Amino acid sequence: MTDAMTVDSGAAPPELGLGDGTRHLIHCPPSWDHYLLDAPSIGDEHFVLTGELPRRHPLFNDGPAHFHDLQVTTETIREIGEFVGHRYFGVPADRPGLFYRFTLDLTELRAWRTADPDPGAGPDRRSRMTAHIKATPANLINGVPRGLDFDIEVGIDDIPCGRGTAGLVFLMPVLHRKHVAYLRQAVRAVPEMDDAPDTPPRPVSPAEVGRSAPGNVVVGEPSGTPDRLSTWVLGQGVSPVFAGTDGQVSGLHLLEALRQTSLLAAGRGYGLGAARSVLSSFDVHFRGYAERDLPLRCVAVPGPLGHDTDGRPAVPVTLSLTQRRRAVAEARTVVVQDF
Amino acid sequence: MRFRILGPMELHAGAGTDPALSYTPSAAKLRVVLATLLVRANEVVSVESLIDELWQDGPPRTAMTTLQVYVSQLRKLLDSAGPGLGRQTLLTRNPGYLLRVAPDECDATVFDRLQEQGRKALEADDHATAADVLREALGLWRGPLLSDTPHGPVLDSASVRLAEARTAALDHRVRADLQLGRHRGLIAELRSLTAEQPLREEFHAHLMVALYRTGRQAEALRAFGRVRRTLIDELGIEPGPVLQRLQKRILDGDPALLRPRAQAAAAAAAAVATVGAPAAPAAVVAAAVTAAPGTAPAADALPAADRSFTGRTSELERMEALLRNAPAGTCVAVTGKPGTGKTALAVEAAHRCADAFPDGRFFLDLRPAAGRPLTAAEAMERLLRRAGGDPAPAGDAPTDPARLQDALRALFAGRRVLLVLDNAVSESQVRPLLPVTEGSTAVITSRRLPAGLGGIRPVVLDTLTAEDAHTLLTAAGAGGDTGTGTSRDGTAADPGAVDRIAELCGRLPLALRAATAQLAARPHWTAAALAGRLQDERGRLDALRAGDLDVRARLRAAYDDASGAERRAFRLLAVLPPWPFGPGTAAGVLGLGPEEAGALVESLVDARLLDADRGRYRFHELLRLLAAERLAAEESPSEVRAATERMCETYADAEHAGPAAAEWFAQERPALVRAVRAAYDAGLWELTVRLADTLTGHLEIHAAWEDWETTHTLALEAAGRCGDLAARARMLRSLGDLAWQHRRLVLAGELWDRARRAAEEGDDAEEYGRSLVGLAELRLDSGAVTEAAALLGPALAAVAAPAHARGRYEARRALALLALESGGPDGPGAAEAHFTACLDLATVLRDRRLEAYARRSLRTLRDPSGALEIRPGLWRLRAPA
Repeated sequence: MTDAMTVDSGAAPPELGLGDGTRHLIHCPPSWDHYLLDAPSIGDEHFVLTGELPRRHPLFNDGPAHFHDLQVTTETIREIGEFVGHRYFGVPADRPGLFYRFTLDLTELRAWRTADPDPGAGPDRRSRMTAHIKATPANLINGVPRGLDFDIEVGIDDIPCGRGTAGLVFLMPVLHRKHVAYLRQAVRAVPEMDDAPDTPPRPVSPAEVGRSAPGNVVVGEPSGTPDRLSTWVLGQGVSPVFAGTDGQVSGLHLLEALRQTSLLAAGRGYGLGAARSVLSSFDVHFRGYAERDLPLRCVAVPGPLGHDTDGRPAVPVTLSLTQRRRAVAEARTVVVQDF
Repeated sequence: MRFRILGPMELHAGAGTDPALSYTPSAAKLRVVLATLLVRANEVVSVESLIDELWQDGPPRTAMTTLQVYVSQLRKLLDSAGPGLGRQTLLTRNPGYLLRVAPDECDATVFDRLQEQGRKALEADDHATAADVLREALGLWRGPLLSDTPHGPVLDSASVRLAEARTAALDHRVRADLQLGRHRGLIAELRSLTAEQPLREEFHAHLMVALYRTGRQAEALRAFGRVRRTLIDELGIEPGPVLQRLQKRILDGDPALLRPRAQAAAAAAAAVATVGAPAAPAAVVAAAVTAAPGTAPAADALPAADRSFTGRTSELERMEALLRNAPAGTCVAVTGKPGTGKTALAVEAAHRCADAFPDGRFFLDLRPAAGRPLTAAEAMERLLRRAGGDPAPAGDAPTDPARLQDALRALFAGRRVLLVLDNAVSESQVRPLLPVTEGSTAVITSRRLPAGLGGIRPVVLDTLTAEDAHTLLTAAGAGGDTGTGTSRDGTAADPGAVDRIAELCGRLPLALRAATAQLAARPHWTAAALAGRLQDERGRLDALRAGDLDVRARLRAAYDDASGAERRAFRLLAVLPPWPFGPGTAAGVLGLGPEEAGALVESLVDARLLDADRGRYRFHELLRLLAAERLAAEESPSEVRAATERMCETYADAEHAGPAAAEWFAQERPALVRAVRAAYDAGLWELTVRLADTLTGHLEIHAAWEDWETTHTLALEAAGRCGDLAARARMLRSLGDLAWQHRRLVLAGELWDRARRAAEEGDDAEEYGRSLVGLAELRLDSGAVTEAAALLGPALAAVAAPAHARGRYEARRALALLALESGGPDGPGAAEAHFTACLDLATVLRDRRLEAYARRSLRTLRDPSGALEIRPGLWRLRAPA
């Protein structure tokens, strides 16, 4: 679990936003009862989020541009998850939302290919993403949910192309602060569990992880064998887009590290080209926080090379992020090479 | 004494003593001696044998003496149960000892006797006795032989022998039960037995037969696959010839296998006497029927069970229970729409209940040929002939109904018979046929429930479940898998295509059978190919015709049986979209008052031409296709257009408002969208616009973009065709709203601009103002507040008249957003004034949704949390500055 995945409600911007585009979030009420009375919902609520895909985002638009970055979807949910909880489910504003799991399966890879890499294209020719989102309250206490479960169906340019889920938990503010403080103290109180690189990690080539800008590379040169890669997540010299809050590694940073390590494992293990590869499946479970000033290890174990239903080379990868041997996140991905 | 060794050892005194008082030796060695003597009861067991049994690893030096001590202790034990019993029972006989046990004193001896008795009964085809006796024998077993006693060579040998005898008894009992038609109840036990004893082929064979007889052919074949794999894995051998033959018979759908051997033989002798079949040898049938009850062989005059019969588990259970416990004068009526398998279910149930009607099962088709059904007299006459009676004794007129009924009742008096009266058309037709005496009953199949008959127990059949439909198709090989792992066409199974076929057939058993027949007749077709052919609605009924399996003809017969008014209603309702509809909609389409239309629609439900569910109605998919065919064939184009117009009018007038609106729209949405298309296709331009207007608000709220675009594009075209400038402006503005919601900004601008021009041309102030509001919102989105303000001034002026409250609401809303967007300390205050005006206008409009939005906006005006609700339910998420 990571608060870096949360919407930062402490210093809220005037409006929520992602990337360089304005988007619309439409609430589709299944029943008007609570809508008319402005009473919090205790059942499922449906939303549609639509807008252009980012065109000048420092991370999502960095790279060979063969595919739209699937992290646009994670950011979408991250962006609206907490808002939906507070606005539609009556969760008090002082309870931050923490995402603890996220899954996404690309169901139509064709739509994720970038048909319009031209940033100067006209507004109505730019790719648009639409996400149909169902939010289900979880663990209702006195009518207020302690969490929300999301089901997401993603379409790009009106082609349904992805399906995912996400889990968000709302924490009591005092409890949350105490919990963070305790974990911080606990992780530093066990020097015998220390796990750090012998020498400062050297970033891998951006091309190997599907990026162009060196600042967007967040993993170091791996050690180990092709069937078990171990790398360090870079905290220094990376793009400001990864900045976390409260001394913690941001969720975007962790997800990007998992993405880059997956591509690295598939490339080093089986020769899949990062420029033409994409994560067709992504399933991550956050177990705890990651401190920004402590080394963070990412281990990847690629499975056997296979093929997806369309015959493309596909490599499943199992990953774990650990800090001082304590689990931060576990993930399973599938890297697909698409020409 | 009572000795029990079929399980842990137990010794009790004989009858008349306290059964709780046990004399079982507690010492293991004593139990070994006693057990050895018991398994060789009334035989001399040598001292050496007893010593070997007691000490398998080598006897001690004092073995002989110790054995004598054990024998002495056993005699004392027996004496405690009865004075002198020890000496009388446990005798010293050279070269050892003999335990004298009467035949009924030891459970193993009783078991042997009962088992032998059961085997002989089975050989004599006395299956009921065999089953009862063997069940009693098996009931003696409480666990493995002498499970609490150490076994030496003698006890081991006895254990093996008795275990084998028990298995044989089980085998015989299962055979007897199968002969008695108890296959359904055996399946669970046989599954357990085959799991316990995976190498006993006979149990696997019984399981296959039981499954086959319950209509689970696929599972029967899977059972064969399992035992085959086990034998190959364990022993490297193929199943024996019996199992292999059985598999082949199941694959071939051998109807003889469906019935117990005795029944099959009797049926063959009775020369299945279904009406329409060649005349039965009357003498044989007569002998079967006229002989004294219980002594005659049963006259099983039923058609063979349908080998493709699948599912219907709960209905069969219900029918079986009803038939077995039918009080005198009652009968079961199976009803359902055409093609649901009423006859097959009735026949299957009759086969399953065969043992409850030992004096005969008779099948009579009351409508043997297309067209005229049998009269009651004809039916009675035919039934009498089939049952071996004389329909015209002593020169009476053969069709005198009273005489025939008397003859029939006399024939069935005192007997236990089951009649299957198929295709009944009226109560008067079947009433004289129904048995009235205890022990006999009837199953009537009919589309309409013969509610006028007394003592009717209805069983209503619907279509199959998705799972059963899939099973039926795959059992027949539609998915490419024959159930044995082999493929009908050499390709891998295609469960997706099978499910598509099932759905396209509406899971109607008759249609599914026609589909499987098509595949069987054309081995080069794959399931996917057939699914593709069925996809086209216009050719689906043609594709569901294979030989004499003609789905259209069967459905058409039901249609032809309906009255003229019913047939007309059936046809006209085909103009409705293929989703459930309410009685009001039906009344609208039929052009009738609610009561008259309600009665007509209910009569269609009674005729099984329409389905009813919780106050709404719908066609079965295939009946809808038939209705559409009949509509095109029998109604003039003008009548079809009039019906379409009435349908569209009904939908246009049906809009719900308020809290129930979301539910109403969710329920009716596909039908409403289809209605817009129908109106457009029929050239009903005004109606197309009206329907689209009805949908506008709902489509916006639900972000139903695809339907929104479809309906309003049609309505825009319709508005142009009928020269309605206001409607044209309205549709353009609404499509602009759609593009805006969708964030197609350029398109939104174009549409709103066109709407503005159309409104100007048509002098429509409301739409002119709203179009300007839209254009202003576009400017606001890009931060061009000055341009937005320049548009909103004229917009507000255009809708200043009291009649344009909605337009004014929108202008005020946009002005409030402009005030917020402009920033500055006065922004929130100005926005508050505009939202307050919105609240007042929403109250005037009596629009609770707009009112709720205004209240919410006022409440959150100074909320620092961020996102801005720019329209009701529409939030703008913008990148941080």
